[in-house]
Order: sequence, then structure tokens, then C-alpha cells
Amino acid sequence: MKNPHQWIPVFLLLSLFAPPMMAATGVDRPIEEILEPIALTDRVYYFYGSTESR
Amino acid sequence: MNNNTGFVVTDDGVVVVGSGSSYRVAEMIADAVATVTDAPITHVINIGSQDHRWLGNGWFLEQGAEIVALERTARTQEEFAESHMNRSLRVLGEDAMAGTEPTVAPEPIEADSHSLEVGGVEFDMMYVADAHFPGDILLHLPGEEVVFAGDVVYVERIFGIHSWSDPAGKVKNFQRIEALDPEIVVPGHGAAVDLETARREAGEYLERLVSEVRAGLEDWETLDETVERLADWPDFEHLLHYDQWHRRNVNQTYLILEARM
Repeated sequence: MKNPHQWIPVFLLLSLFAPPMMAATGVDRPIEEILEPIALTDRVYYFYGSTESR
Repeated sequence: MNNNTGFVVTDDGVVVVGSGSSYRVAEMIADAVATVTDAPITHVINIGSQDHRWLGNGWFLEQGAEIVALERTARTQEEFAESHMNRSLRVLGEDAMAGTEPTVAPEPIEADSHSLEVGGVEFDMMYVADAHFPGDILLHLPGEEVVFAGDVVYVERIFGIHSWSDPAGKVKNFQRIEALDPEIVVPGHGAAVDLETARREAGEYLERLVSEVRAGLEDWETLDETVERLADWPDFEHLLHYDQWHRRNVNQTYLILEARM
């Protein structure tokens, strides 16, 4: 079995990209999901954003 | 984009509430509106000054929409513009913020309240007191029995009180919402709810926070004593980010109220 620690540099490299990718897509959900209009009345809609704290 | 935004389909076009966190997000909001109606977006109402509530203004302005904001709100946006842009660039990255230029309403309204009627829908913009940011407002749609509460109400997650926030002002804002007695409250974060839920998740926390911290100050408690006394509120532990924010909120509220005594 290969040394599992060999993956650590890969994870570290990926972690460099993870925060901006999450943020650009709506923090904790894809922005396409956030931007699904939810009807409150016949005229009023809202977009249910993330509950993330940032 | 981690906040709630909204839009209203009137007989004469669409009114968007909050322009999103960037030029790119503003365009995505417009695309989402277009899945509901072909009507043009004629107005964008700014109800707050945190980055994700107004940094999309520039895109909507380019498309010919009117940006509507009270002067108090626009002033805070200008004051925070540089720090919000720097933070957004750092957190979201240059690609996500491409095209974004901080753009406040060209003709902000020098009043504490303003009503406009668009295509048969009345929009009442009202400043009650500073809240999450100075100049935050409530937006009441009396005909629809809806209040866009912005960061006066959070549901599902706990508030964050910042050094520039006014927790006592938030209480006043919440009391105004109760006086308006809407059927639906659209919070700044979390799902749209009825007034009773808004009170349980946000109003009660705010009122208790301010009254308990104020009582500590009047009893000459030190900051540490007040934070220790109010450290654990099981009634609100279910709110997301409670562990991260509750003690900080007590701490920050103490400092803010003390400075105003």
C-alpha cells in the first residue's frame, strides 16, 4: 500500500482553490440553486440565499 | 451571494429588491427574473449597505433601471465601498468581481421615508434607526402584506453584531415591523416566514440581548462579567453559527451600548 501521506500536497493544492470556488458559486450552494425564484404572493418573489456566515 | 434578494412583478415592469454582490451576480438575478416574466426591470431598491445588497447596482443602471435608495443608505455604501470591494476581491476573486464598480443611486432620496408606486404596487421605504449597517431600511409592500426586513431579521441563523451595527436600532426596527403586522417577513438571511416566527428567531434574541447587556451596564458589570453571565442561551442554540457569534454579540453589544451611555 502506498503511503497515504503522498496525497497531502495534492489536498493542500486543492484547498487553495476551494474557498473562491465555493464563494463564487453562492458560498454553500450553487448560485443557480439560490437564484430559483420562490413566489410569496402573485407578484412578490424572493431568492433564498445562503445561511453561511462569512 | 449569500443574502436574500427579491423582486416584484408590477403592471409596468419589475422592481428588484437588492442588486446582489457583483456585476456578474446582478446579470444572473436578471436572468432568474426572466424565467418568471418578460417584463423589463425598471427599478432596483437598495435596502442596505452590505456588499451583497448593492454591488450589482452598476449592471442594473447600465440596463436602464432606476436605482432607488435613501441618502442615508447611499452614504454608507460610499463609506464602505472600498473595504467591501477589497474584501470581495479577496474572498470571491477577481473573476467573480469582474466588471463590478461600486455604484450608488445617482439621485438618492434625502428623507427618512419614501413611497413609490410602480404598476399598481406601493413600495414604502422607511428608515427607523441604524441596524446591521447605518442607513439600513425596511421595505413594506402594504398591498401585498410583505416586509423585506433586510438584516433586521435573520431566520435559521444567528445575527452577527459588528462594531458599526446598532443593536438597539435593530430592536426599534423589529418593533416597527411588528407594528406593520405583515403576513410575510423576508429576512436578510433564511427563509421567508410569518411574523411570529420572525419574533421567535430574531426579535426575541435582539430584545433580550439589548436589555440584558443594558442591565449589566447599569449594574456596573465589567465586560467579562456580562459576557460570562450571558454566555449560554439554550433557547437560541438551534440557530446556525450560535457558537461562533453569540458571545461575540454580547461582547460587541456591551461595547456599543457602553460607548453611548
